[in-house]
Amino acid sequence: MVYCKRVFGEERLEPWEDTGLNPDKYYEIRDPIHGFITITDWERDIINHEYFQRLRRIRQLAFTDMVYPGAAHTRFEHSLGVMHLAGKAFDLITRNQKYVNRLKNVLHYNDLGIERARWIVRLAALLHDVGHGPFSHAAESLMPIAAQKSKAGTSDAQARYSHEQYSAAVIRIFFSDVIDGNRSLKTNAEITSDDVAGILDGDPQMGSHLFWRDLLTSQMDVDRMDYLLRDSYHCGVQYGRFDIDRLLHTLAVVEDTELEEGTAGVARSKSGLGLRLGVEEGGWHAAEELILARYAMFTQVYFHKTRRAYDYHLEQVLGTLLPYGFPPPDSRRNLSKFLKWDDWRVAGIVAGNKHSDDARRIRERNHYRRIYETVETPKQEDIEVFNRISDKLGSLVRMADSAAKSWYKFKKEEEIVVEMEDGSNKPLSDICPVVKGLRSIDQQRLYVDNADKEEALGIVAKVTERKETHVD
Amino acid sequence: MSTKIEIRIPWERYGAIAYIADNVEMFGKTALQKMVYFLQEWKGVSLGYRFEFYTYGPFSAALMGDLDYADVLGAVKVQYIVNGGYSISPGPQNEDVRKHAQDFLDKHKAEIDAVINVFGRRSATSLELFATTHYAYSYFAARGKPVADSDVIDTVHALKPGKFSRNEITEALEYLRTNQVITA
Repeated sequence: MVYCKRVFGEERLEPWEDTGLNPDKYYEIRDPIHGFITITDWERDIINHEYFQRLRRIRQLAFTDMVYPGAAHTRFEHSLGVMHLAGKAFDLITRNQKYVNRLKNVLHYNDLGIERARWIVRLAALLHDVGHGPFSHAAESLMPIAAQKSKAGTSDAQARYSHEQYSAAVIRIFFSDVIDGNRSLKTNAEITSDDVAGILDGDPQMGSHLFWRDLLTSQMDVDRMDYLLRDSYHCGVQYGRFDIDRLLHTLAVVEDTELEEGTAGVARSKSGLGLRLGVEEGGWHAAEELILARYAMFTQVYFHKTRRAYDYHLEQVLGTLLPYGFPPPDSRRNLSKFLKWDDWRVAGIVAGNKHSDDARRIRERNHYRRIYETVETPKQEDIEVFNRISDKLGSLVRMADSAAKSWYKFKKEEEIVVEMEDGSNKPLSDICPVVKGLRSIDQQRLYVDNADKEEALGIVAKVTERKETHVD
Repeated sequence: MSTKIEIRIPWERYGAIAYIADNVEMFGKTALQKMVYFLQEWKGVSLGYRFEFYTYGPFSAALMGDLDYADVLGAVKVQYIVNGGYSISPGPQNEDVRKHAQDFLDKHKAEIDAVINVFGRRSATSLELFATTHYAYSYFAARGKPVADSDVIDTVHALKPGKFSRNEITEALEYLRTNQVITA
């Protein structure tokens, strides 16, 4: 049988040599964002795993439907979408002989190695969220502080475990049966659950394969490409839209012309010493759109004042249910306990809990009200005003929020590299004044009980000496 | 309710960035990433950053965001030099931001100075090599067995086959040992 490298979304099939990884059958799943998502028979086995099916019971955006009623979609459809985009991006990159040559010359790939990487990347994309707790990011405040290094040696000093680390552990422990045990994957390509998890948690033993990590977790990854479009669609907003076709078709494998910085001055180092995911010059406007989409979605959806209030109420409920938090992802037993928690279980408790004030507020949609907020990027004087207001409000303050505390953030990240037509590389912000002008958002907010709003407003007005303040 | 609820501004992070900018001449984003990495991983001074591993070595996205915000606060000035990368220097409010983090800086001055002494004058490429080598070493050390140099060298070499030679990686290991960044 001849394996066909499919370029999804197009009618073209590219024959490749038979490497034994050719699926017996393809299946198609309808998706509201990408149309048909095509999966292989053995990807279907993974999708049918009980812990992947659990993602049907994990909402993508927690209680965002309190603001945008359509936002009831789940991690299940998002994960399928990310796998679809990962495969599509991979195929579009590797149909360009220039990039294939770079992969071969710099990272020492051969044809079989590239094909093997494709399946690892697709599986990592499919499984990247299996470690989410109930209501997605809302549960991450209950993930324990990581006292020791993870398997991949990740530095965790005083940082909590992340859902990505839970995902990697779940893949290694629970998906080994369907990955390592798959005859085609194991026998013909030696793809293991360790390979798939290693891409996600940056296992240094993955070697050159870590190049593909840029496709899954970076400023321009397929995870955010999918969630921006999907969340926009379900929320009924247009903020997260961007020209995904243009972006995918202009993804580039760029040579790492890293710049020397040091006491000796600033000088270019040799080129061709490594590879990064970047974008061709013709695609930088699409990359710009992606960043602007993320900015708009952050301000209008992810950090929406009311949405954040429900994140808080949910965290309080979860904190009561699990006073010691989730167990760390360091054993089969602990992960089994963790994976028993999903939205259905928590929602059932919220529905029946007559003692929790936060559960009642969720049931009755009676959230805390934002009473004051700083500008999106406060300066020192803004923080001082915020602190004065907080002091004056005293015990009226029920909740204080910060954009930096939000699991979705809008912060400056690693630069997107643009490969110019003359062969040079430039950071996107160097050629795009809009991106250059964007700043990290660190907005601060104060919330009070609805019953205290009028009193609190008066206090805020006195401090700010303004008649009008930010109010709901 | 009697407990005051307030936002905690991570001044220690901005203070550490401001201190490094005030004490290291001519450095960029890569150098900052790797120096803060060593501050946490070698000296054990926690700033709460999680460094994840990419082909270009350990990297913290949160630190990139904090650098930008430190620029907003005036702690540092981050400038793009056309065709030359980024340059970080002290900003107009550098001293003021360091004052906000005075307790932290007083407590950890010796550790930050040690990182600056060992790594502050090294190029970005050298720092990438040192941090990648240290990360690989820590990866094997976390398994609780004696670490073979050959495993570290093979791992680093496999990450960027064309960038660092085995000799360069061996020398990096030696540099880390000489400066007691790794002790075995």
